[in-house]
Amino acid sequence: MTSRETEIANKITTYLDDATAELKAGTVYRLQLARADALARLSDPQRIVAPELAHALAGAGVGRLAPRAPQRPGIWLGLGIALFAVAAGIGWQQWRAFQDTKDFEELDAQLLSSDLPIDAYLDRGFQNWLKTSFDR
Amino acid sequence: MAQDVVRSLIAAVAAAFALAVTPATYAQITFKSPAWNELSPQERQVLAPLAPDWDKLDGQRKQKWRGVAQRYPSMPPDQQQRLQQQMQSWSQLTPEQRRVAREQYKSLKALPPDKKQEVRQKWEEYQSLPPERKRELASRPATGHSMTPMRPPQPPPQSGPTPAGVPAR
Repeated sequence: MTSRETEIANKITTYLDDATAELKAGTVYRLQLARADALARLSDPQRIVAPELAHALAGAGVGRLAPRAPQRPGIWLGLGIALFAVAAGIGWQQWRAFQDTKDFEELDAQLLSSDLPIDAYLDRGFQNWLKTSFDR
Repeated sequence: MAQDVVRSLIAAVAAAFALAVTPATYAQITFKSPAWNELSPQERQVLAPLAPDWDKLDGQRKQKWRGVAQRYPSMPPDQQQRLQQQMQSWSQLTPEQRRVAREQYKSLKALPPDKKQEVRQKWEEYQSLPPERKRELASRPATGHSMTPMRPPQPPPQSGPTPAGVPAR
């Protein structure tokens, strides 16, 4: 603070002191209560939030709630991301199911049209016989 | 406060994605499930062996068989015949048997060309083995990858319908 600012502050303080001396006793009492209340709020941060919320709710009826809604954009963003995640997951499952079907389609068409019967692919004895024959 | 929000968001997204990719969700994915009468004449002709079981198939299986029917015209006549002959037997297998058969087919397909040509001949030779020898071979541990559950040694081939089972893909 510069000397000039200090000088102005002192003058203001003097004027305020003079004016305060002329206040009525009831006015002084209400100012003391307000000061005590303000100091109490400073010592308890939760009490500072409450009046803000009350103020916002009080203004809701006159359209003041809407401008305050974007104060928590994280929730809407989160909901959007969660919905996107669900949609992406279901889309991925759809694609996988479709791909599985195409794979089975190709494989089964080849298997069923091959020159071996289905039993040959399921007969463990034949698999062992084949291995024995090829190992000779 | 901000950390709580971020933590909540991460949890919500993780839960949503986990829910979306569960097998239950996969199972609920719906394929078009046309009735037999809704198939084209060409599809009905190709898939005729499946007609009695068609209504038991789920949408995905029907979709697969319709795809097979689409491939059918491009196959040589002998393959077309084999495909139709084996369709019904295939549809009677359990899902596990189908899985085993597919795996075995893939492993035989990967054989060198000279050995691949021998497989059919080996099958004929195997068919002529005495039942005791077949049982002895079947009792040995499976070769290569898992082949359970396999069928027990089959009696000599016979014509006629196979017993009813689980409809197949």
